[in-house]
Amino acid sequence: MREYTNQEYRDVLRNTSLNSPLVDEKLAQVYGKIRREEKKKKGRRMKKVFAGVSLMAASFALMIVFCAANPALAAKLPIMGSFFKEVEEKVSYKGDYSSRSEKLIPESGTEEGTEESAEAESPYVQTDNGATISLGEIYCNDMALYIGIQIKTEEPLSKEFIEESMGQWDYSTIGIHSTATADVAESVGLAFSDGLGMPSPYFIEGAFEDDCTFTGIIRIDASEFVEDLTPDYDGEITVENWDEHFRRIGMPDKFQYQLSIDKIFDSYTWTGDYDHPGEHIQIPECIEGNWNFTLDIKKDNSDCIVKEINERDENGFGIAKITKTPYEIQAEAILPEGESMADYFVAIRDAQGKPLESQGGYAEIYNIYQRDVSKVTVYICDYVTYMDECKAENWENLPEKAVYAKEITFEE
Amino acid sequence: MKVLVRRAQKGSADCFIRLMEENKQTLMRVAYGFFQNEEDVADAVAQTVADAYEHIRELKKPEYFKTWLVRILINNCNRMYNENRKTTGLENFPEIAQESYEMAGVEFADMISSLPEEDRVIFQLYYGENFTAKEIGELLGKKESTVKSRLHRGKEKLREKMKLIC
Repeated sequence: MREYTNQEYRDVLRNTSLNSPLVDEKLAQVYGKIRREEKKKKGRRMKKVFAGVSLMAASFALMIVFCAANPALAAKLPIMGSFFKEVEEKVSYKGDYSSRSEKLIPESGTEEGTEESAEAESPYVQTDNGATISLGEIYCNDMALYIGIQIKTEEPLSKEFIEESMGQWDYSTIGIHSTATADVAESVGLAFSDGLGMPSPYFIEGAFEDDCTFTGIIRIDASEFVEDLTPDYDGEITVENWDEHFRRIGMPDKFQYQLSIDKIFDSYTWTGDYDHPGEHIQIPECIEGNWNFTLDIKKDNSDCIVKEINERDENGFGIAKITKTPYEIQAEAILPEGESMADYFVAIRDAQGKPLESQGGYAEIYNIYQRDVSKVTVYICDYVTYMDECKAENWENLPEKAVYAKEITFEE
Repeated sequence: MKVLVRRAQKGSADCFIRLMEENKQTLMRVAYGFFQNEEDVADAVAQTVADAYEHIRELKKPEYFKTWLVRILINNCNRMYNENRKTTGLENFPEIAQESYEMAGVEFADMISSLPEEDRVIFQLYYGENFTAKEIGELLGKKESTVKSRLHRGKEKLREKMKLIC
């Protein structure tokens, strides 16, 4: 035995490559199960899409007939406050969406929110298995589609369900299992159904009003809208061949979005109870049902700016373009030939030099609500260097560690 | 890595498996801090991959994937370690077995065996996997100051051992 230096610890503990046929054998068994599970899920998902669309059409037709014959039932449909207004400052993608949104359900206290309007049937309020899901408002721009949603249950949700939803953030999340289709034929001449990369949300950020009511905002990123170039292809989709099978089309100007939710569950988090190892994984409480919605979406790009930069330095790093909406900002990096975006991180600082914070699901899309972004600085940094030396409290290291920096001014 | 994480979250088994293969060495090296038995290391790693697949959709920030994955591993290792201790009456880490030398290489196994038993995982996470003391504290449910002092104390103990040997 001998004494090791810090560098020797680093060299050996970091660089030693372990070799175990036993580990490989056990992992091969787990991978086999995962592949079989994926095939089953794909089969179930496609069936659900077709079943969901047929069921939705049938339910909608039935609802029209039923509500016409039963005006008293239609009158029970609620007038609601703005879901956006309730939670727009409580989610990670903060913004005054309520000032730009299109209302789906009349808002109480407004001209539209009269008793007469409440009597009108609303396909945006649906109840199944003791839970009512309402879609109240929508707002869509080049960056994302935002949907105001409320979930109300007849029975109070358990304390654990609500506590688990908080996780490590200052907002709550609820998990949903959903499938989605978007008819973009009118906008870009395409139509597609659910599958890899399709816009199907799986959690909602928001807040609990009480133990029966959760209000939140669903955010669907524009990058989720992709064209399936090879719909009949039945082989494996890998990172390497993804571009051969799919093409990103961005947010269409106008489209119909159909959302089918079939499960609502509490968000999974770690309890942090280290005295009871092995008891950390919470089995989600789950409400199953069928809640199907069809939304007509029209993009509103007012106050959105796209600046084409297309500059690169002598090392091949640069910025292609930067997109700024009223609430978010994103820069598209240019890398030297052969480099992968997975190995780099794009960080942005505001006019005061302070780092912008990522919004929930996408680390390189930054929230700018109530921040001065008349001038921003975009940095490209090696991914590992960023994570180890520049994130969180180490943000001041970024200018020194970045491989590229560019200041961009947005004229008022 | 975050692109792979997002695609794995969308249900791509191929991307998930690639992620696991990219992190397999980390998982094995950390598990090795708990167990010196290849079978236990293999069980802990396989269980961690299965748990990660079941829950990857619930990971909110792809950039924290590695921390999240290591946390699952540590929970599994703790559980298995406690179960082993109950069933075998084992109170301390065992000596390094011959099979471990074959699995890990002599230098790695020698270094691990030189570390104080209770600090092996901390050393591995700090020096081997590049986690900060604060992150290790969060992973192990200990204060950052405790992690720092364990690293310092661990090295002191090693020096004392060396003096005795010499």
